[in-house]
Amino acid sequence: MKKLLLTAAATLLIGGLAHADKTKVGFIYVGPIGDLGWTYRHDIGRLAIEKEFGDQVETTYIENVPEGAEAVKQITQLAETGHDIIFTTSFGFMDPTNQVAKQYPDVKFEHATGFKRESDNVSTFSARFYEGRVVQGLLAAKMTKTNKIGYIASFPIPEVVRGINAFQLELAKHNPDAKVDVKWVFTWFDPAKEAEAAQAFIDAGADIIVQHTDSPAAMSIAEKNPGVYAFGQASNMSRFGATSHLVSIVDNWDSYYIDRVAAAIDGSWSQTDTWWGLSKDGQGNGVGMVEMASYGNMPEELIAEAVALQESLRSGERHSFPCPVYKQDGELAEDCAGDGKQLADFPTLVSMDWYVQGIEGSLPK
Amino acid sequence: MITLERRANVTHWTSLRSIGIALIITMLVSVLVLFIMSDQPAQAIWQMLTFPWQGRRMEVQLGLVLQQTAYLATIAIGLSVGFRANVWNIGAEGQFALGSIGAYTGYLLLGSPETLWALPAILAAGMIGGCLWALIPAALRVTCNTNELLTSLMLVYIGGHLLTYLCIGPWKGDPKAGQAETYPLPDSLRPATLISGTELHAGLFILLVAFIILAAILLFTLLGYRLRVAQHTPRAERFAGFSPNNTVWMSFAISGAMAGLAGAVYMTAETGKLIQAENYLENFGFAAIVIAFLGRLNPIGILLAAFMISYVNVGASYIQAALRVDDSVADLIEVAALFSFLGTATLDQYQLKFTRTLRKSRGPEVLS
Amino acid sequence: MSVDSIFLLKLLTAAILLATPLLLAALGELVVEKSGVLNLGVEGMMLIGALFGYIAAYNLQTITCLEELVPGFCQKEERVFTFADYIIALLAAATAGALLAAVFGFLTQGLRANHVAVGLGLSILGAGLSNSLGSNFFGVNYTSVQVADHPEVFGKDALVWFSLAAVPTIWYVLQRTRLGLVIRAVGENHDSAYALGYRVSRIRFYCILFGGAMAGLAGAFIVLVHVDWKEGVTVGKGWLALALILFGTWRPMRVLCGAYIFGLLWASELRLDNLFPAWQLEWKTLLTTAPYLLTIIVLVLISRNPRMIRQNAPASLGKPFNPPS
Repeated sequence: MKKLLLTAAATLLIGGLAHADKTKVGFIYVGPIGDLGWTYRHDIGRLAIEKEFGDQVETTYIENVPEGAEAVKQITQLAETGHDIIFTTSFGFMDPTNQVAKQYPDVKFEHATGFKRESDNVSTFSARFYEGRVVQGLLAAKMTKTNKIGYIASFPIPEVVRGINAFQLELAKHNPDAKVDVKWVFTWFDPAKEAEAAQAFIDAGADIIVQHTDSPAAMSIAEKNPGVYAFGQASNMSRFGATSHLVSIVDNWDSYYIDRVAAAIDGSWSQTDTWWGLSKDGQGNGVGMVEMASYGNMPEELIAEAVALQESLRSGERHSFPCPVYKQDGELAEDCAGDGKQLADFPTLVSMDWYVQGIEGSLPK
Repeated sequence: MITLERRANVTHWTSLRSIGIALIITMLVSVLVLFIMSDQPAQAIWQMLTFPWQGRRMEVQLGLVLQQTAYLATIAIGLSVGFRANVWNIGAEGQFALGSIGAYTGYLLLGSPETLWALPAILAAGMIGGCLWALIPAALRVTCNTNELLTSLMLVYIGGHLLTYLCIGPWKGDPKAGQAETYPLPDSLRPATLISGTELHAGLFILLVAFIILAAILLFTLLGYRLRVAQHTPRAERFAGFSPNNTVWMSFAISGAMAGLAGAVYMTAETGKLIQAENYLENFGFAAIVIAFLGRLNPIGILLAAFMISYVNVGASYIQAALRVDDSVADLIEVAALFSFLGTATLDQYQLKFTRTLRKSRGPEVLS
Repeated sequence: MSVDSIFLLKLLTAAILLATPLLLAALGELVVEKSGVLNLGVEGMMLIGALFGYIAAYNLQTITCLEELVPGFCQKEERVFTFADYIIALLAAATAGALLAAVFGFLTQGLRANHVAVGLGLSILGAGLSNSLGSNFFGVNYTSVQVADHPEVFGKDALVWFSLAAVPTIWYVLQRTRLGLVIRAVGENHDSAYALGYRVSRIRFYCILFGGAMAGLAGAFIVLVHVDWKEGVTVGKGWLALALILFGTWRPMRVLCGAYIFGLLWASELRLDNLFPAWQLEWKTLLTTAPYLLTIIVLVLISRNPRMIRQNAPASLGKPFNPPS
């Protein structure tokens, strides 16, 4: 036993010395990396950091962290174990991140998809996923035969609502008869529930399944039902739907993560709020956080049309929410009332909590 | 062949010895688990044992340990009352949830007060909430002779869904919150943090006081004596002046109130609001059952067991962050402890006999 | 066929997916309880069975993996998942469940530890063990088994038919055979059974193994037929199986009915929009509690009628057995 302790102490000492000059990067994940969706893509980002910086960094991740009091404890543990920069990758970690950040002013915090930055060491970042939803709206409009579209939504937060609205606007433009039905499942990752929701849509006659949840379960269900198509979410889900996958919105965090860790290493890190779409600046420059992957199972002309739409969104030639935008009750959106050309980022899109015209049902309030 | 034979005399020495054996087994299993699950096992074991001194601030780690200890011990001592009398309340998780809901109800009924003076009333409301929820299985058992173990368990799930329902429906808070939750309590109502940056807050003292009061009652009063002898036989129970029905009522009321109080403190201090069940409940109610048995239903034992398990849990989350060891090691160690304690408890009353021959059919029970 | 009957047919199909694991686990536990043992570890045994069934299938089946991350990782050749492979995966799941049950059997029957405490511990152990093994296995490999083309018999999964066939079989064995008589005798009054020369602990041990194997199959059904493996994939079905036995008053036929009623209730939850478009979201949340509420109501009803309990419930259920020595 004594010997064991001595060895332990020795390894600790040597280990401690070896790690002294490394930058430690920590990640808090809401699901497992094996979700093959949202968390999986963040983990790809983590691996990109390891690849880019090699021995300069050491990365740690904690999976399956619930978005309650538990998150505070886990973020605290990362800060306590000497992590220099911590990425918290779900909306629900917003308050826990800010709470812990106040206690550790020398640690840098990066919160995904949130909007609160209560101390100088908290940055936020998100992607304009809704740009991908526009392309999906076009494809759904052209591909549906039953004109019934099932939309599996997680939580009624602005990010999800933006996606639904962007989808509906483009859908109505090309196929006014198609109807979107939204089911709120109140979870990000629960394959059984996601699969159940997809099956329920299909049973009710829907032939296009859209999801804003994290696992490929809905895609697998679509694959089992001939004639039903689905869109991949967060990562490339084409492998789960050989005959049903239309296109995936893929999150690409790599370049942002590498930028931020580089800044943390050379000391130039400062608070930012980043919002990249298909391109970094919305004008077609740089690789953004949103990619469209693996168009398939549709006519060639439609692919060409979708790619053209994607390009115009990327170059900024077209906006996802061009005026006029009408709310569910027929009222014109405030931004469009004057001479606005589109809905503004602040405050409209950031805090969007209303449906556009054409969506049935009410947003849970 | 190994057979069990009843011991002629049971002494303190035998039970101390079996606790010692259990601790050794637990440690061996823990070392084994860490060896399998970590690529730096020596580091993992060392850091798991000494984690409060490994991190940046010792008080943060000790705060996390004491915080968990307080919740687990409070719920477990309440449960131990019933377990002694063979009354099976395994629904503490639900009573914890209802304690939180009760506390929030109290807050709303008082007209959303801002001053700290409302806190005792809110905590009392939580206690009542947990207690009433626990009295449902008690009432069904007494009036309809329904199995209380299963009804209390079913009520855990109903309680959890009720919590989620309240967060999605009637008490829904900020729609932009990213999860279903209520509006938070004002900061002025939340128990003060004692050491900045740690989880140590005044609410834990309330739990400690509740624990000490119940422990004193169980150890030193006639009521406690009656509850303690109730476990042996229903006959002894009657001699002690209790009807079986009163034992049921009493056990459920006490355990429900303790779990409810823990839930109320949790709501006011840790989250400050109600959140949908899967993000809110941390399984304290189920872990407390394990604690009660690890502590052999004895108040002091429960306190020690709660501390030990909390230390293991927080240690596991520490080495997860420090060394990338999956924190399910905590579960495995907890169960190893439970099983070795339960298994060796038999050695208090029985001793192992090694025999050569296997007696046919009518012989004593044979271990296979 | 009218639209309504198609809708009902689809509802039933969805219900089967939810009811079958419940039924399998409950039938196993029914035999355990008939022998006088209460094993609360069903949830843990289901999780372990699910994980091992999944791992076995993974090793036998076409592998989906993410080349973008680990180039050249997928070097296993693709093969068709045959019925024999499926049976092997199920056997792996059943064995894993039975092994975990053996731990319970050893502690409760060998060392006479408290059933409730050990059973709860078993649930925690099953969850912890499947999480740690599962994350080691899948977290590192970035893989996922797809079970889109699992073998089917008469349009349903083979396990569905197996679970339905198990209902009369278990009834027959328990009620009409000597083996069943012995099991029931041990569960009714262990002291008399012991006096008659039956080895109470050994009989109970075998029943516990059977219960574990059935729970393992139930877990395997969830991950092989319904959804892919994830941590805690059984989401409380093991606990509900326990309730189901009381719901069915220890009778296989009633357990079957109960399982399908629960399955229908669940399947309706997400389909209520089609039935009652005006319903609020929060009402649907409350509907998920219906299986639990219903169980309590049935428990109360059957408990009020002492004859019903006396006829069906094993009298020694959960009572400690200390043979005279």
